[in-house]
Amino acid sequence: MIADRDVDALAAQYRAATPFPHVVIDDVVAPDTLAALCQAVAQEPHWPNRGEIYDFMGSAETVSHPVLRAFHATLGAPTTLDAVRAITGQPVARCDLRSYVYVAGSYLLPHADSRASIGRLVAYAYYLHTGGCEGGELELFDCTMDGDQLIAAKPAQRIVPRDNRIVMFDVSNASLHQVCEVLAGARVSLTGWFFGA
Amino acid sequence: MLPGLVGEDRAAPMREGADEVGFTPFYEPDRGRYGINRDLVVPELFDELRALVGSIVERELTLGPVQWLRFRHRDYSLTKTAREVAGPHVEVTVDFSARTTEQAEIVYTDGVESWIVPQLAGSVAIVEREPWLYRYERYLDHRIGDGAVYRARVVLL
Repeated sequence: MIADRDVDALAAQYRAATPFPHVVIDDVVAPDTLAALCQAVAQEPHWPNRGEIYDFMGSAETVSHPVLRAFHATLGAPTTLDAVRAITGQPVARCDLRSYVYVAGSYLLPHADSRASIGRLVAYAYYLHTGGCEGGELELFDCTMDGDQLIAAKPAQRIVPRDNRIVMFDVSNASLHQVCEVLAGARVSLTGWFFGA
Repeated sequence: MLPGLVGEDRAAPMREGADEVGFTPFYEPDRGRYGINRDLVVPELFDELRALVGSIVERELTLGPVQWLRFRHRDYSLTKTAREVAGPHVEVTVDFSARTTEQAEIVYTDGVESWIVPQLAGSVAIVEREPWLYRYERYLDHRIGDGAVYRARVVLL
């Protein structure tokens, strides 16, 4: 998955990326695995999630389909965690995973995932299915900070969702990001965080 | 919430007047995105609101800050948006949009419970705003098309 990549090269990309450390990795799993994951998400229950900054369909906090659970286990396996540690420089020790379906009109407004009390170190989004998807880009903001306080932010980078692509980025008060509104089609992803010990 | 208080015969000139004066784009990604004008003055509207709301809350009110707002596709406001007034006050929202949408609802929340004010053209919403009561306005998605939601937000003290 990620463990068999050139982690040194990915680590260099991660550190050099702007506006904050991130990396994009394509062709993450074999095509038959991708097909199985897509089928599994189609069978996984999803519910409407609507709040101040979001409107999308989400799975339960723990996925139930065996194929999704196996993918979660692979992502949290020692070899994958070693690779994520090497790429990000963060002492990640475990990860969580949920499935999200964005249809036309779904969005996630600008926010930072940073919550020191729960130890999120690295965020990830693995795109499974983006066929016919218009919009749904991951947008990263360049933030001006005064200590931990956000003073100003401007859009800096848009990452297009693509089948079998994973994006990982540092979690901090300055890692402001959003998922742009999906205007047509659907964007299906497995998303979560890598946590410290 | 008082529906149907501002007829289209009155709302249309309000929109024209507001558009003519213009809206300044506000975009702070973690706070909101919308058009705002703080300079437009419509004394007769403010006097009517003061009298109407005063009769409802049964006390004398004075006019505080006024914001004229225009929300279009991709606009929103979040709870982090700065309050116009720190202490308790009455917040009046006059919706002078051309049409009712199922978007841009105003959500008041204490962090546990939420109270939703639907976007209803011609309506006036009156809320006793305590310091613990936060407000956000939902994102307007592509279904709004070229349309817009127009609001006058009037603080009465």
